[in-house]
Amino acid sequence: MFESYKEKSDGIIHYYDLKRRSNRAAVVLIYIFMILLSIIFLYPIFWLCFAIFKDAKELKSTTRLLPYEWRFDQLRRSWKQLQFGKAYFYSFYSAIGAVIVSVLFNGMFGYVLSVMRPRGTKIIWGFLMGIMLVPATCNFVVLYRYVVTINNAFGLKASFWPMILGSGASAFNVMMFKTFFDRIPRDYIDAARIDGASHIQIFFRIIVPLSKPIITVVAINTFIGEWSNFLMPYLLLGNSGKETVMVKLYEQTGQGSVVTTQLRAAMFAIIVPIVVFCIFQKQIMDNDSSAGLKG
Amino acid sequence: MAGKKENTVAKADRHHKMSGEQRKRELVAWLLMLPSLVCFVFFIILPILGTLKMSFYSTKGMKLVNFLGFGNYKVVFEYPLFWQAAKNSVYYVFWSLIFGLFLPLIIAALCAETTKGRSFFRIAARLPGILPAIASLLILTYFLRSDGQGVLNILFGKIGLGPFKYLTNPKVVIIWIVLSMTWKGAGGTALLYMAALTEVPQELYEAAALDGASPWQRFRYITWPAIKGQFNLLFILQIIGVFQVLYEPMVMTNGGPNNASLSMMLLMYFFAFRDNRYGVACAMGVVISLFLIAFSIIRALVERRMTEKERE
Repeated sequence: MFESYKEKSDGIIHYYDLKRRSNRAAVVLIYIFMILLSIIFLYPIFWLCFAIFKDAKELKSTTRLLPYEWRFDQLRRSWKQLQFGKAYFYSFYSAIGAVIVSVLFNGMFGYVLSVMRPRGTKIIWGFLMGIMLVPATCNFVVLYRYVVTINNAFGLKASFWPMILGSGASAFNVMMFKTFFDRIPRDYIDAARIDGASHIQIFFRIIVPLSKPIITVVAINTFIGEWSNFLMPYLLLGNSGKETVMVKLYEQTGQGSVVTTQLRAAMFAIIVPIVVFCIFQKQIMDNDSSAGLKG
Repeated sequence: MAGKKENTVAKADRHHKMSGEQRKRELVAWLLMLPSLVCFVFFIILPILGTLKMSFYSTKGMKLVNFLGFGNYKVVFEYPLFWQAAKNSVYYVFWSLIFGLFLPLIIAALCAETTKGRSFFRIAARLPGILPAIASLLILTYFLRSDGQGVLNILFGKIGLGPFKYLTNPKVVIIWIVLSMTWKGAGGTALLYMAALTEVPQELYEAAALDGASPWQRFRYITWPAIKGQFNLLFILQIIGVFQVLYEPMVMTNGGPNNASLSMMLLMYFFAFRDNRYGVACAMGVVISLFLIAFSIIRALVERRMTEKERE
């Protein structure tokens, strides 16, 4: 295994270090530590995959990881009982809506701040950065009040517009778009301008084709974020028949809830983000690695 | 930077009167920003202003009744649980710094020293952060059950250690909540450090190695100074974030046992949605925001003094 360090060109320890015994020992310790840590990170998820097949007695008494029986039919029954199909529908509905709004609104905003730069750009940008510092969480009470007032005024009962439109106001995503567009070489755009292209033509012929990476990243982040969104949906949709997955899940906690149902609901809830993560793994990890460091 | 060219052109433009063509472009620009700006105003700016205003009024349900001046603030500061929550929030921050401040950095640094299995380690670290909060907290709550059913107790039982109390023991409940938060958050932060680590020029390490520096010395004198800026930023962001903890006590313990894990944000949530005291809740929100703004200012000042010191 130490042979693989011949190709290693990053980090501190290199192949020439492995000549010394102490450094080789250090590498072994590092691996042991990382393996232990990975076990800690992954075990709960791993455990859940098996726990959903157990029934209440098994969960209470045995200490075996694997279930005695693979109770798929009980799983199906829990799904039906919780009406998770409906919950999935509503979660997908709000998540996909949020993605569309987020990419469009924040994308246009970022494009304007980066390429078009009208008067006042600097002020708006400073404002945006300032907003990122102010804690948003303290103000959801009043936001809830506004939403309820509007809902009452228009006779809306359980509606998704706050979640969907709320994604259009993400300072973080605007920043991601802007910094991405900043990195597009100005020469492309200047050449097109000299050739007489309007901003709209530039947008559709140059910017959009190049934007696939950033759109993917923002879309994934928004989707997972909205799928996981709990507070507003709970306040607005609880007991309405239109609960999203997260709200359904929270309703399983509290008095008188059955453990097996809780765990199965948790599994149903996390499968979608895990699948998204596995499919788009490269984009998510690459993005985390390169975001937000230079300026 | 590529943007500078466009900027100077735009600046030069401003000295002339705007042509019709430019006016049209400005209009288009503002129109394109409009949808997002409207959302910002409604979802962020108005609530901030509204919270401020509502904090000065007595409320009946969600309606404003009487102007109270600082009445709600008096209620907040005289509320016995407020000081409990404030103390708890400090404990949350304290323990999160102990457990979670250096761990992401350690993960990132160690990952950079592995070859095979590196992507596995990165994925393993990142995965808990991807899961929806409610779900992962539910799983962890089950793990941390204090009876024989809790998975941790089962695992301890296998090596003969008695069942322990985690979330039901007021002395350690905050620690276990912080460990849950670290489990969730370490991976994402670690990836940020990993990116910072790749920016360090390899020649520095090689030169140091030639001079006989051990890997640890290379880390201490090359790596650490290079990421200190990122570290300081994440340090203050962690304090600000953990201070606002809401979901974890809400889902795992509901503030218990006996308010031992009550956080400031959870108390605000209770004021609003359990006790129906919206005015007081807004005052609480303003108080929390002031704390956080104070932290941000302190950080900016410390940063300025540190960059001044480095210039000397």
